[in-house]
Amino acid sequence: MNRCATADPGLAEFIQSKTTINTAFDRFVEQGVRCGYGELGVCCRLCSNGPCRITPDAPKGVCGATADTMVARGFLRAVAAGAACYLHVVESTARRLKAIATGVSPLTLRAPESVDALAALLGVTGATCAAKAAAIADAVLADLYRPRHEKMTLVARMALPARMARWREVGLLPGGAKSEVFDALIKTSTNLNTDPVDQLLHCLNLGICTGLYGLALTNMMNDIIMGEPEIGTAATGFSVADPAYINIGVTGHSHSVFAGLIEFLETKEGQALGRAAGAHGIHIVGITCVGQDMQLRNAACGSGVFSGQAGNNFTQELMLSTGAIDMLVSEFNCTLSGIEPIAADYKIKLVCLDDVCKQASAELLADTPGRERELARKLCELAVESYRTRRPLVTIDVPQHGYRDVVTGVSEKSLKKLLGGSMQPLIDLIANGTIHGVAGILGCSNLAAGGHDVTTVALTRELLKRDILVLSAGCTTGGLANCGFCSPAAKEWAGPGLRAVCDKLGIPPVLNFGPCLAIGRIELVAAELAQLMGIDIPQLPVVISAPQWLEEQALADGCFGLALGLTVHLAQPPAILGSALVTKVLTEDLPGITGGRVLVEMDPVKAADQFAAIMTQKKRALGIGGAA
Amino acid sequence: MRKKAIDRSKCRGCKNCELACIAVHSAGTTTHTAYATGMKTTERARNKVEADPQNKSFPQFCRHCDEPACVEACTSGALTKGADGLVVCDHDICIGCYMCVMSCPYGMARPSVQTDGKMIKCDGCRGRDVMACVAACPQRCLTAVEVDDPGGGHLIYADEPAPNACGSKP
Repeated sequence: MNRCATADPGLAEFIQSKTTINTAFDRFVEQGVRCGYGELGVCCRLCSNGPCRITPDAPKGVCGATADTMVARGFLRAVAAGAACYLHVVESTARRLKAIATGVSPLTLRAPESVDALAALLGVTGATCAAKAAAIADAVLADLYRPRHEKMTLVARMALPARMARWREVGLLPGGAKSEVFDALIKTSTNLNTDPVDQLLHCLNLGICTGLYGLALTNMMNDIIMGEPEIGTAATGFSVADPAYINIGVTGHSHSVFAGLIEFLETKEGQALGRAAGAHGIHIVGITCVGQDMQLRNAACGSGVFSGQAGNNFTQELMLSTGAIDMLVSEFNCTLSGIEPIAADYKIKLVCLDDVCKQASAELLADTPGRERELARKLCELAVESYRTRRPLVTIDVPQHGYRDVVTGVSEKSLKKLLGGSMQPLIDLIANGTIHGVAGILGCSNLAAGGHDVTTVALTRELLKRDILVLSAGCTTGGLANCGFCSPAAKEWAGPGLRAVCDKLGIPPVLNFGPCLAIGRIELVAAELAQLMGIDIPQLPVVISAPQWLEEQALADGCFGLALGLTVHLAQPPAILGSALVTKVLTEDLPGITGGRVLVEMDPVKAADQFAAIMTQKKRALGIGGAA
Repeated sequence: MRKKAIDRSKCRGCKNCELACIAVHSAGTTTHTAYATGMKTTERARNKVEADPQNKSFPQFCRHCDEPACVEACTSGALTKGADGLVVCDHDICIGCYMCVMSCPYGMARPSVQTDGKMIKCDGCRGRDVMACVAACPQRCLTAVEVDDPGGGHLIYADEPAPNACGSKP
């Protein structure tokens, strides 16, 4: 059968064994030829005169829009939608924190000791820990809900002063984040803004909203609610699902939405529900980023009830076809439509906790702060019911897949702890030439860049050879972990300098920061390195890459990287190449605006060479790293 | 002999065949390179998706006629019909008089939109492994077929359009 490739040999074998299901690996081939105008970004569907496509015979849309306007407008719409997704996550996390802090929710904060530091960072006060936590949530929500003409107040507290100054100078400081998204939709509607440069600057503004709020503040609040990540060892891959248990699969991005379920499963009563049905108990199996987040904080919460991370976005249909998942609960995105017929075949109960991710055949049980315990009990009862009815009817086929020694729990805080309380040792390793630089391999997996995780794995391999330390977050990490890159033995793939560092610190050469939200953590690491070195972020020998970016959220993440002044590599271009102007601004002119730029290179060897050259050039400018 | 079969009932008017034609005749031969410098340096397509009198999509291509009106009208001798049945233009000879443009009943002898002012037309992707428009058609409205007979033109319509009264013989 002609199916899309994957970099994961165990997964490939399992895919080939499944002849009766239709997955994304089949549909990628079925889709065949792509629309060239869509790929270039020069198709506009904004009005009834269209769709208009730009060609030499028709260089303008009916309204007069040029390729530059169409491309910039389409890109801003995509970035706005991506920003909106992350802003939804930070909003629901802040609402949960507020509910717990004010006693509306019966849950407790797992890391109350982290409240003080975040309150101090954000400049909020309170008489008690709970009052401070509530003040944190209020400050975040107040910023999100501000009108666009009022600048958000926490930006200055979160950003490096040098960045802040540059953003102010260029006019990138965002007003209320939700209003910024709202006005981006206005700008990109029919016969409104036609200025590509204005639209691209709006993208960077939304990047700041995404990065500081959607990513960084979500992580910081989740760390308080769910516990701080600690470096440890965990299992990944399909083998994490133990058929002796009732298995609740989870997909999405909001760890704290599962706070109630995890708390209930940690009680004897919760597990007794599973045992009464004849199972050993009830487990959570992670799929997509929310599983990565659970794995990250496994030491702090859910240990014993979280059986591990099965895989990234494009593994979910196959994970369901193991038959070992009794119920799948999704709270946010990266839940593929394709799971619905497979769930029907394998009699798997589907539940959504938020109507933003409501699937046609799933039951919607809306998560409401304050009602977490009722929801947790209901979910467990539904899982038990599904287990009872389906297990006599389905065949379970869990393959030997994944690694049991994946190093997890890396955060900006746990990494610093590992290095002895400061990032200085990492700077020293770069400065003395032991490691060549740091690359963030971030974001999604897709099937288009050579196959599932194919480019991510190939690029990572090339970077390690060149003694470049890889920090990873998102589905890239899920894929890399399932291909052995986050296990200690992966040091064998590293160059001599990086291998020595792995030996000394007992770490793999790819550091697993967990979910895509942790892109915010990796960018905090970059900011901290810059601060310690007394320089600005664009001067760092750091490159970030979303080699197999998939979706609009990844574009919003990328815009944060660009606003921070980082080089952002993509294997495939976003839909911008139809506009010479937009392409030039993002790939050539941006260094003069924020210091960042987009680098598009499909070939992993050429891309790695370019990363290395950029790092050499930046180190030379700083006079470090033996790069005279 | 390679010919192009067209089942126009499958055409959805996506114009991917036009884009593929633009790309393959541009310097870098990809859509990305074709659009890299903006429309000013991009050559138009040698084909065109039109609407028929019933307002249905009609993918219009050069027929490479057996008795080509364009070749007959060509004042410079640039247009010739080869042994492989393809009618092609030698751009070194073309003087841009556009007699071909005025004589082609299908509108498929086209003036270049570039500054050299010469004519452009379908070359049947002579010398290429696949015909670019065929490879880019997501609907399989266009397919390549191998036939023994070089006559009867380059196109094989599943649903033959009405013959054009003033046209050359396809």
